[in-house]
Amino acid sequence: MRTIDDFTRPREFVSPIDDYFGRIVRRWADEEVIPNRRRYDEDWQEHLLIEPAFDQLMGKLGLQRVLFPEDLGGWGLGHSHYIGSASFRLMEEVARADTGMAVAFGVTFWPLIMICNEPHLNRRLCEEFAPLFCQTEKAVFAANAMTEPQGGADIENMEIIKGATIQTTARLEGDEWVINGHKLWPTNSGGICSLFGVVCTTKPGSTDLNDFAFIFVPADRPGVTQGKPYQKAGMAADKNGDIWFDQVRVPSHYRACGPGDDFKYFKEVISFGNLGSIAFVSGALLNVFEIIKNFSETNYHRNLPLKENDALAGVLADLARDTEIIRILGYQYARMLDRPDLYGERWNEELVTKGRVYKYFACDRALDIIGKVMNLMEASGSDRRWDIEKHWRDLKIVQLWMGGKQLCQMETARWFYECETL
Amino acid sequence: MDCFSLIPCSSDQPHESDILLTQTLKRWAETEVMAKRLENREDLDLLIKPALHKLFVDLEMQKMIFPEQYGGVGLNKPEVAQTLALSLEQIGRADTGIGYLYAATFALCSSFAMDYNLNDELCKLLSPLFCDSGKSAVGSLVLPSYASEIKTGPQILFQGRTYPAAAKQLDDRLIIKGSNLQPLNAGCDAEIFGIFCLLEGSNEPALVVIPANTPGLSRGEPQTRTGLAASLNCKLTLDQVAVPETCLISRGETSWQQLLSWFYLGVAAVTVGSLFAAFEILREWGENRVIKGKNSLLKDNPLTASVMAEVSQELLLDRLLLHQLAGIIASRSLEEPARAKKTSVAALSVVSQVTHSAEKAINQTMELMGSAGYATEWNLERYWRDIKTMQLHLGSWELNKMDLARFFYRSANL
Repeated sequence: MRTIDDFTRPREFVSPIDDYFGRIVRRWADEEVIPNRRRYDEDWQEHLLIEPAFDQLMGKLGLQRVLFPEDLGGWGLGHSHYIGSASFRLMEEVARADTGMAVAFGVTFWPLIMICNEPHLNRRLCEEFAPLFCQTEKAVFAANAMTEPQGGADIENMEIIKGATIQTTARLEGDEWVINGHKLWPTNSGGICSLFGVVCTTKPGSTDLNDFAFIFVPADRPGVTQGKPYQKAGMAADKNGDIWFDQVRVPSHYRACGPGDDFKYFKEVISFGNLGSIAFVSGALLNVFEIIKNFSETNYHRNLPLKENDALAGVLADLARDTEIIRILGYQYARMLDRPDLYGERWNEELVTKGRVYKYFACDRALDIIGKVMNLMEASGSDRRWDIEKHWRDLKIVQLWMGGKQLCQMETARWFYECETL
Repeated sequence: MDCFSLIPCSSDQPHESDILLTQTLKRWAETEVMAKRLENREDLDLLIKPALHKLFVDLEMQKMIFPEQYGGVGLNKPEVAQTLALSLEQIGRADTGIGYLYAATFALCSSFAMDYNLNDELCKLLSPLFCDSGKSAVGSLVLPSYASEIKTGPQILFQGRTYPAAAKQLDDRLIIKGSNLQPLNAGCDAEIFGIFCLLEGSNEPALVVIPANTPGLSRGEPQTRTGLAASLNCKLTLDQVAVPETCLISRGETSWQQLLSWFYLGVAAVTVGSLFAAFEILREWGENRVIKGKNSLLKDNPLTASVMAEVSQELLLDRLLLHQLAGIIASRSLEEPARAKKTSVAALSVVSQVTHSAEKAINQTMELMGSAGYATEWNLERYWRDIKTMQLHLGSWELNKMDLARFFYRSANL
């Protein structure tokens, strides 16, 4: 019998721990999440159902520790040559169960990438923050506080904006940063975050890359206020809200990498964000395949299983095609991030752009084909008992986030066509 | 500027009564639904039921099609198609789900109250529910679809689909049985069900109306779905349900084509209305959001403006198609079987085109709005969920295409 494991993984370059990680997370998904996930929508504020599953994954199984160095209690993925492909597999398996959980889990690593990854490991900050993540069996969330009111994720349009529109300021007073500003919508806000990585400017309006600052702010610092989570179309496991920083003081060494390097390595976060997005899509598609295979074998047209109808089989084939291709694409990008010797550094413009290309291709294809699969299911396509509609709702935000499709298009055009004024 | 005046349609010179009605419905939409939904979201008790009651009962929309002699408004001639399209645009702009309920109810009632089908006995039987009860009354449709199990022996199918129930004539009664029936709408709270059955002995499709309180009709657990909060649905079981022979509305394919044509017209109109709402949200967004820093509004950026243009183009074309279909139905095209068949094919094509186009346009609008398009607070995502849910209830597009192929290419074996 064909299963999701019959979709191709490029075996010549997956990490040695790929299968081990995969099995652990799949068991967690099958036991802890999939039986409960259709009740998650009503749990969007309280997380009474969702939180124990996060605790199991991130705390008890310890996956929130993976980036930190081994001697600090981590698993050392930050210096591994398999960081891309191992991350892809982890995110994909979580997303198969629930994309919202995958986003919340994956985004926890975004700020940590700035300090845990080689060659820009910030040992002092790793030592300071590792206990928060590594010495607990509770899930601990970090967030990348980036998007601001008015321009939204336009702030991510880094090549052209160069941080000039950032309104959140960081002012150095003695040996402390004083941070003021308003961020909205970061994943893992809405009250659950313990550690923010805040995108700031040290000089409002400046396009000098040295003025772009990425500064860590523990959520319990005086002056940090988190608003309530927004109600959304889906993604109940991922809380998003407003965050206000009002005269928030943190030590000066909480700046992640320093002038110039904050901007440079922040683009690595974008690369991993794109990789994660493709993994979320791939994981969701794998589960859609499982569900529709079952549906098409247990519902009948002209007294035959739906899958035996030529027209319906055409849609099923398109789903298998898109799943296969997106998965291969995701692993390819993962490998490109793993092999800077072949493809260049993870923060270079080419890799960031190609990540955008793959991400928006994957999202567009997935939403289109899941919509068609739902249509094939008739009214059952919108019935929450079948779970496909949940993937459709959840994946929509993956398409919209990180600047959305138009930013992806502009960055792609800018790089491939060497546009000078876009 | 009123967004409706930006998008032309063939009903731009409507009757004075239509103008008054659409103005009334616009007021209803804005005061009873849109002004309250930020606070009440999709709450059935706080928002949807009161708004539905106001629309169906206080504004008398549920008795629109009933003849005056039965207490109705008497708009039971096919010319009402234009009125219906204009009305459902306004209702759909407010709430897709309420519009969907009205479209299904109107379509079901059209099968016994429209002048070319007027069934006095049924009007007499059912008009108290719709015209006198003081309560909102919704009609629910149950149509042939997939089967949930393999049957042994030869199967009698309707255009390849499995009948949801079987009806048998016994003296002056009909006995209906069926399990696991999936209504298109309002299984939980409909007052009447219109069910396409296989009439035993004749092997013909039969449209039977069953009052919800008939012994033997039982409802399953409420289903949770992607959208259409107004349409609380569940599966049905019909255990030897007995109704008077009067409840057999019609036999043969023509009644199917007539009912679906009205239903598809209604759904297309609701969809266009919902797309109007998305268009309004996008216009406001484009006026206030910047791209590439502070100096470029979305509406002034060539890339985003081109996407915005596509959204308005979809709306414009959808509206033209909708009112063209209304014009075809208004020309009494459903009366005669050969024309009814053509009209139903046109209606299926239009409603498929419009719902898919609206899905695309609202997707694009969400893309331009980013996370705000996804947040409940901005009121866009509800239309996205609702339109998709409504589209799914039209049946599998792959199988609907077979209906078109059968008609246009005389495919005998589909």
